Amino acid sequence: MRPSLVTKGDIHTFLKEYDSAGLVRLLTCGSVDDGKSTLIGRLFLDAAVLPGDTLAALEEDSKHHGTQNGALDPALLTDGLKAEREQGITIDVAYRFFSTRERSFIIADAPGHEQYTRNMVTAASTADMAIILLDARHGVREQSKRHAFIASLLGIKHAIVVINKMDLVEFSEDVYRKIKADFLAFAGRLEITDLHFVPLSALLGDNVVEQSAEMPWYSGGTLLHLLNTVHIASDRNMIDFRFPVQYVNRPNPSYRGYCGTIASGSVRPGDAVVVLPSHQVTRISAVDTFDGELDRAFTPMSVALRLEDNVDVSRGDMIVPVNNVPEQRTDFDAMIVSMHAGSMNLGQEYLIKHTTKTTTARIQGIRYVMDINTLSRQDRSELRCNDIARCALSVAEPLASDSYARNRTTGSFILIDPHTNHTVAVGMILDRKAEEVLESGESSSGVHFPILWLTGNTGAGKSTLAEAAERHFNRSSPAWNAAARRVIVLDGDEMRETVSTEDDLSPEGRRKHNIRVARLAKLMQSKGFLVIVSVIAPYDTVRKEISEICDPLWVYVKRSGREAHDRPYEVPQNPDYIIDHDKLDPNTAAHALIDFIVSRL
Amino acid sequence: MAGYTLTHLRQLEAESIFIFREVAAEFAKPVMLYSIGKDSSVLLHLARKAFHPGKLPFPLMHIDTTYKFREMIAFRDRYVRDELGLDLIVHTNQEGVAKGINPFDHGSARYTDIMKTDALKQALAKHEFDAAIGGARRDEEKSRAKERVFSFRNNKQKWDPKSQRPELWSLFNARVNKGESMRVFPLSNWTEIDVWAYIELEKIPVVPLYFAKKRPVVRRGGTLIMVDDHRLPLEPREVPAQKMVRFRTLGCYPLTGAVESSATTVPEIISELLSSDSSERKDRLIDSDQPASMEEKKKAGYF
Repeated sequence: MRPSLVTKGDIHTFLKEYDSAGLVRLLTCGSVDDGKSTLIGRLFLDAAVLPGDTLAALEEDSKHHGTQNGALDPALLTDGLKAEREQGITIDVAYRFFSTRERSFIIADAPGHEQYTRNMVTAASTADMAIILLDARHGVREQSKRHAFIASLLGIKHAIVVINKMDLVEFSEDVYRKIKADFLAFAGRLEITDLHFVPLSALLGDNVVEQSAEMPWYSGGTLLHLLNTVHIASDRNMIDFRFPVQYVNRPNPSYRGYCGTIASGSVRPGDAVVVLPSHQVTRISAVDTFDGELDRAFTPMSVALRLEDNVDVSRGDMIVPVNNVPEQRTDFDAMIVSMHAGSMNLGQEYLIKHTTKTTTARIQGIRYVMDINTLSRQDRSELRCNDIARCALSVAEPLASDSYARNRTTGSFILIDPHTNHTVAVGMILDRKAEEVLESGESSSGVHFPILWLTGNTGAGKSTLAEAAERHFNRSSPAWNAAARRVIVLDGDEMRETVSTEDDLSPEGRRKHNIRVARLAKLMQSKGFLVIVSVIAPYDTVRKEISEICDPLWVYVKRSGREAHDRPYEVPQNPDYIIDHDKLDPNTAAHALIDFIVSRL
Repeated sequence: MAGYTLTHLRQLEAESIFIFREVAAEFAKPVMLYSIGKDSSVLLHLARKAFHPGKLPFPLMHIDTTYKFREMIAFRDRYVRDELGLDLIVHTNQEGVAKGINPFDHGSARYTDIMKTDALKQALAKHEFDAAIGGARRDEEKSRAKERVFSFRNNKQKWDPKSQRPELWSLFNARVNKGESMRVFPLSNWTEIDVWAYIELEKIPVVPLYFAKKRPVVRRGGTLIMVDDHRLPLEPREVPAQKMVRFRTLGCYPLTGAVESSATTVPEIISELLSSDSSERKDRLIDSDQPASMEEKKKAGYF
């Protein structure tokens, strides 16, 4: 399992894999008592690509400082708290690194107890995924709820709830099920849409990297498997192109490049854009990098944009598409986390840094302060350190912003005390409009999602793909994605058992069945659903009819060896997308379909 | 959509470029610390990417302790000065030189204090730099794991690990008053393997000392020290041996241990790294000359 012993022969394979690995920022929540250090240590030890020296040092350390009678003590690899205690070092947020062959992980860890909220909020701000660690003996305690709440507040969409120390509860399935049910009951109030549970023993290694022999009743994959496979790519907002101008590069009179990091979405030369706040309209003439011009760029790339017209652009401005402009607001509501030792008062002036722009802001009102132990709301007239509060703010110059739920970069800000230069608070902008819609129970009217029609032979894997996409969108989609929980699958077999019961398997019967499904899909679409149809639709002529009825995106699902003489299937000539099961494993195929759907939203 | 994802090295690259540009935009007089090693090579490469096609909007500065390997100085002058034509400041603590401070008579701790830490503070104060960009990585050492990307220094150039500014998202608080400054670390989230993999990917030039070659060394304690010039005092009857060695980190030659190796290419270095039994900074004698020593040095103003 350990890939650390790379021989000269396959170092090039290793490098190729290493270069193409994805990056995942991981937050770990839990205390030493839950076995957090042991868990991270165990992962490093059993799974990570790391210099062999670390192992040698650990063996040595375990002999002297270990708690396992001289046997390997994984906790020593990462035990920040021990370092804190023994060496008098303070740790608020520490970053650690490990790689597997699939992914590179940056782990943000906030062990501090005193400044608990502040530290965890900091660590969570950049995380894609959270590990929430529980002790099987104690179940879901207040602390775990706090962890989950903060992870949710900071916009983390994927959480792996690790139920540790299963060895101390005799690997009991009942204990696991009870904890899982308790957690789910609580998590219903949160925005973490993709929850996974894994029972394990960090100390013994059960279900960390290797499947446990003690828990045959659990089949959900080891922790490492989840870390490597939870799909996070579609969390990125690929819809709204946002380019905060960071730096203007003017090396000579003929070149003017607007440097920045793409906060969301993508851009191509020729795109029509508007510069905020001046509202000047122009087009992108080139996307520059050190390595040459690009024909497209996307988040989170750092590039330089050139514009066709000689417009006035400076740091703090934002370049956005003409047809997708963020709100420009001087007054808005935000969730504020106070990080200041003293108290923050209403009406006091702070500097606000939002993307690359700095201006001044005041807190006009505190709507409520959240008690993170009970998740109840309290009235208060000032903010104290570690408070999480919904506040009304006003700023001196309009900020081009999106809600934090939709865009982590254009929806976040920090407040700085102009006298001490301390960062006193951080904030996440709320979308008042969306909330009003939600609260009034209206559906997002006028939103039209596409219909996807998965066509292909029996056994090509259409239903499996449709289910995977449905699961992904309905359970794990980020909040900014309006398609969340609005995906519906119309499956051929189910249709035949319900609405198409009179239609036989003759060509005409098939046609009638297909037409029925097309009409139903059209109806569901008009109700605001994203419809995925998995119905063979074998004939070209019928597919033409279907296109006229509901105009779906045709996805041809291909798998060889499924052709049958009695069930002819005419391969579509120009499908919108092809999923080739001869070449893709099921997991990759599902991700490909999900990515395709996202690209068409 | 498959083409719309960045690999982790490209994400790290994008993040570092963002940090460089943030420094250039937010500070009046930044400088980039250039120590000639592999991390500096990567740092310099990223800086060039950040400001292409323009010139770097800040000078480079090398703190020369006078005990750097000769090959390092040769590489610096050939690559940075001649090939890239960059603005390079070289600063040496002349008081230290006048007093004859050296690692043999004064010990590594005092020598480093005077010729590195003091020298750096002198140079930063002399030029009134308000931001100094360095190549430190969080995976190098425990105290660095918790240091911010934008790390505040008071007007005595001191770091206070207990009152660091909260750092969320990519919203760096770059505000300093006169006399105060910021140390900025664009490679914070890179690991040693990332650095080498990126050097290989981008074909970045590095000092030849990283590659194994027969070099004259003597064994001191458990450490192989290269006899780079005549200033290294030899014990009676001590004769330098020619050994195939290379260096995992580069610093002052009397304080930097060599490792026996046959790695002559970057992939071979990475291969060796993955099965090595010696940690990156372990061959740096200055990290362990006092307990929790890097944290103490950093508080005092060392990079």
